[in-house]
Amino acid sequence: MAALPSPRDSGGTPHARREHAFPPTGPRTAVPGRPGLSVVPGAVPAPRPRPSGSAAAGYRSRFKASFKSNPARVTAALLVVFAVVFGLVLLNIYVAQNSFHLSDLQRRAAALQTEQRRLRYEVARAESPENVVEMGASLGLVAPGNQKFLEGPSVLVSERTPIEGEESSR
Amino acid sequence: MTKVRSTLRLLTLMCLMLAGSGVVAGRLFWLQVMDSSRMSAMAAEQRIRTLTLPANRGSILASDGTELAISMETKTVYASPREIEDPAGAAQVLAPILAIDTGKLQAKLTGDSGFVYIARRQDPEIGDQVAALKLPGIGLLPEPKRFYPSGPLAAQVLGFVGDENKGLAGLETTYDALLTGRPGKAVTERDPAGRVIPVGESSVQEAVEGNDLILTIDKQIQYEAEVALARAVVRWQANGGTAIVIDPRTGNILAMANNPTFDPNLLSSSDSAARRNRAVVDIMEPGSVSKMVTAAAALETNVTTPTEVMRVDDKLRIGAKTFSDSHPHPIESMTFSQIIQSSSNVGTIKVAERLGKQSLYDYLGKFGYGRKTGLDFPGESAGILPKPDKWWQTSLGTIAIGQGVAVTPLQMARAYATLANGGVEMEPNLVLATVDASGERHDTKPVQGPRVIDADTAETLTEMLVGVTGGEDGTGHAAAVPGYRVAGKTGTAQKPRIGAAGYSGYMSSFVGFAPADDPRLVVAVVLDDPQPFLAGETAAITFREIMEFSLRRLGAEAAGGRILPGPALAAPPSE
Repeated sequence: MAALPSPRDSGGTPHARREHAFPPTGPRTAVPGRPGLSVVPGAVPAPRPRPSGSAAAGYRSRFKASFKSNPARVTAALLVVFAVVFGLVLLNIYVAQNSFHLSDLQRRAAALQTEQRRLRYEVARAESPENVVEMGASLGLVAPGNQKFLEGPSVLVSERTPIEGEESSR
Repeated sequence: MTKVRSTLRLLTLMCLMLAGSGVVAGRLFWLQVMDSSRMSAMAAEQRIRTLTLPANRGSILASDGTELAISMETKTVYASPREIEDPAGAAQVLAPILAIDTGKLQAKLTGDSGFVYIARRQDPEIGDQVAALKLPGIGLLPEPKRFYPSGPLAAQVLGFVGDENKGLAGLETTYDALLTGRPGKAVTERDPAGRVIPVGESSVQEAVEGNDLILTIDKQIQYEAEVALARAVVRWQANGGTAIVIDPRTGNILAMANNPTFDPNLLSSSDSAARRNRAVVDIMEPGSVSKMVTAAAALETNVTTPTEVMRVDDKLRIGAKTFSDSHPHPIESMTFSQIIQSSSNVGTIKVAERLGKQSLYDYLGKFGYGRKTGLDFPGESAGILPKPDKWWQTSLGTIAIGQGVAVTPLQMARAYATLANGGVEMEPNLVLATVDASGERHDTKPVQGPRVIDADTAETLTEMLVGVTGGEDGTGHAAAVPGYRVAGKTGTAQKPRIGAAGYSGYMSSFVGFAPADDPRLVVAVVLDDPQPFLAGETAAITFREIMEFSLRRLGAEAAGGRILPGPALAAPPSE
């Protein structure tokens, strides 16, 4: 029984490789213009009747055959699978790291927000009139007593004298 | 036989095993299929934690944008006593940090309870110290706390919040819904040790901060009003007092001071009476300041003119009651202007008799007596204005001179603001704008009320009231502000006894506005039973202090178009 030439042996076309990888299920007819691929009657084993509804089994057997004849491909496929799994693990680690970083940043943002509010409070307290008066007094500032508002050298516009009780508190 | 027995035993064993497997399978079916949702929920409950993210309560700001009330995050220390193995040891190290008695703290830490508060709303630094101890069974919770950076400044206006951060008084109550915001929630998946599983289930619904309120309150004017009022209360031994400063053109309240006062940061140690906003809650018989309304009604209805001369005795009998002027005098010829400027009761009542009770009642109502101001302040009183069909024979006389009716100091200030605004009422307002969580500012618009009197009448009456502070017969010379023309009126009203007939003590008040030609400010001052009781010798002086400071602070044009220099802040009176 003559075996079909392998794609490597024949140096054939992709079409030939496909034929090899996926054996026909019925008798071939000659392909015009392609003598090397002509079918020799009796050289091809009689097609086995395929069990009805077993397309999956057919694929499996084809894959098996392919893996047996192409160990490099299998290795490559396994490497790809490994790379994908490893990539997923790396991605997961990256996501977890970022998640920790995010929650850390959120904590810092909350702390800074609290600090900002505290500083606003401090500013408001420092600016309160009561505090300004206290600070002024502690620095030795005193409110004026008699106030005269002049226009030019001699025109008295307004005059203000402290009322009783006001003086002592200033 | 033996073989049969052996087969029987095997069959029995097999049946038992089948039955056992059936039970296990049935139970599995029940747990995995029939009861799966409940079991899933239980599992999720163990892993999934939902935290409420408290929303920051909005700040309350003065008109210059500085905070009058602000919320900050503090730390609440709690304990789970059942997890504490050494309560005495824990109390020993915690007590000095939290400034709590060790014995009391140990009692709290002992027991089988799962949760107990140890110290609420502590400074973050204290929280850090507690956390550093890493005591088992002791934890920290973030809780916001309200602070009032300016202490007692405008305390009765701002109000305060309770333990649950809800407004309990003042604007904190009125605008509680706006200030509160909306809490968010964080859902996280945690491991048995309580740590967040980074790639586990997680969702965050951010809290929405409450809106900020920007008030119309001018911090400097508010402070000066409070200091002047405190000084008046000390100097004249008054029971208390209130002062209001309003911009008549907009109705914006620039200051609302009360005495006695309190510090909302030290709420628990404050007197509940001091927390009352007397300006809007307390009512009083206004006395002679109300003669402005009688005069406005008389001028508007043309029953008299400012220059009409009347013969005025110092006594007038109506029914069983004899009304008298503040001081004895022979029958005098007085113009209507002089009647108002010298605050003659008899002259005013004679004009009111021409006016009639229905007309007087109508104008009192138009000037806002018996009607809330629209400020929507908690506990605001509408005052008392009896209907004419309920008036006694003597009521026309008493009501014409401001007795027998009751108003809040704010209502009185509103009436004068209407006059100062050329006869058009502006609704008093405390909120200049709100700022939402996204930072967008929404300004409030001044609410204009109806025209109450003609602009001409308002101008005429203003000139009459200028005579109160600057005229020869005026009772309010002490209210005159050098460099400015001031219009206003004194009021010395008897205080009705509480729970008994008759009167006891006096309410002294002065309400006025300046500059009279282009009013920028209305100031109302009320002192509760000062010694001496005459408003011209007490409230008028406090009025002058507040008005002078405020005019110069706002750079209001003095007479002759001059701008006087800005004022200096006063120190509070020594205790």
